[in-house]
Amino acid sequence: MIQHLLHINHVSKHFGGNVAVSDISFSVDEKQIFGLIGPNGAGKTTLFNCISGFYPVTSGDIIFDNRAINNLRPDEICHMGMARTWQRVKPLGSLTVLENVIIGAFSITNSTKEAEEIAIEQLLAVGLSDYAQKTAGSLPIGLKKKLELARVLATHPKMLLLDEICGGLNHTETETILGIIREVRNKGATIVFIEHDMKAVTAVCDWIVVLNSGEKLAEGTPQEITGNPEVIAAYLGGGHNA
Amino acid sequence: MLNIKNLNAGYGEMPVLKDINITIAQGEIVSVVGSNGAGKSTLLKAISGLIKSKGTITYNNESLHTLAAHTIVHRGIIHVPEGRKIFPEMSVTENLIMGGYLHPKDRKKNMEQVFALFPKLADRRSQLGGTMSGGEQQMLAIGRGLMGNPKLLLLDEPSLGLSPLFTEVVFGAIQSINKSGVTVLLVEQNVYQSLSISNKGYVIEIGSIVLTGTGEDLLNNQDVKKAFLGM
Repeated sequence: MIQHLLHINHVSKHFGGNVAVSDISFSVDEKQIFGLIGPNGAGKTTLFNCISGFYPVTSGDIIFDNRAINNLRPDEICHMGMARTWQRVKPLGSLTVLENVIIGAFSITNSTKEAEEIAIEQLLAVGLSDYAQKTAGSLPIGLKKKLELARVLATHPKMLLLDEICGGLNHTETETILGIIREVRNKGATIVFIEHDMKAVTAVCDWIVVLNSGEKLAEGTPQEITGNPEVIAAYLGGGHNA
Repeated sequence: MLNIKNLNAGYGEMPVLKDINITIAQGEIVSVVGSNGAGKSTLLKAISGLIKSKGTITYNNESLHTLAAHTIVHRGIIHVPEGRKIFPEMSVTENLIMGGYLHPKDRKKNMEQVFALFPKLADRRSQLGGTMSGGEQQMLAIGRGLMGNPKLLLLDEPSLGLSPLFTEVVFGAIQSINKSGVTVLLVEQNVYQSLSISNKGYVIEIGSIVLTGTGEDLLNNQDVKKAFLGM
């Protein structure tokens, strides 16, 4: 039987009078690549912030790996096996690329040698090994996105939350990242993927939820979603196949 | 309008751009495409005076090399940077006012144009920039650039983080900004959309221009198709 790894149960998040996320429910199955899409300001990143423990929810429950995580800290959630990347990338700018990834690896080992080995492996995987000794702050945005990915992979997560990881990458670079995502899934991880590049979303996602103005607009397979007139009107527009 | 000859630039001792030659005529949209780390943003920074460079950059027959970045803004070259770089502790309106600092008389008119282009910014005019979503910040960064009465607009990945529908809106907006008389130099990863609206394109690889042609030529070029369009 397929196990639900993540349950979002009637989750709402308000900022004062502003309702950013309104009564959202969905489940993510183990080993799924799950897409979360929607217009700018729909609440996608806010929902990620709730799931990963950076924002307390206003109401509702978040269940990860059979445990309610609403009241856990981000570091506790990370230790349970969930890792996330940031849309507005957050490298430790004055450290090297390698050191940034080593810090990710320290969540699963106390040995510096082991952490370095894990980090080098992940830099190779995302294609950043040539930049290992560069200062993280000096990378262009697309490479900072790859660094974000390497850093979360170094925590060997059960679930990855990826926030616009392909933003700022060209077609070839996006293909590399999608290849990594598929490989990570094949090794047993589950992925929730916020992305605007619909080619990327439809290429890798098994299931998609669409948010609009904080509410769930639709959910379904990539085929169902790209053919849904409401989704086309709110999000895709006419030229998404181009 | 803009003539770049044998441009070399970099950071410290690390060279990034090698002997770049680019010409932009008044009224054109010109795209520069290439992989991450190829030097696209560095090129824009060299033009707007944010980094030092060697070679010649002439703008309307004046050398930009001797000018400070703020003087270059006075000449009408406006740079919308990669990664938004909005003022997070200022409201949407205040961010826009900063963009129009040199043109207080045009502030009202320009702000109305920005709000017409991005109605979402009008809804959120008193919200702090830093609390907006990524895509909304991108809209604000473009809007702030437009407040400066650009003659030559340098756009660094304007579609980054924008939804597909909104990306179309922004590319449409770039075309209408261009039709109103603004010359545009565009750096984009959305190669299809940017070349589609460009008079001319340059492909840059590891700091050198390797290919140039009309937008249409490049869209039909086999190497470009393979590397950037996935066809």
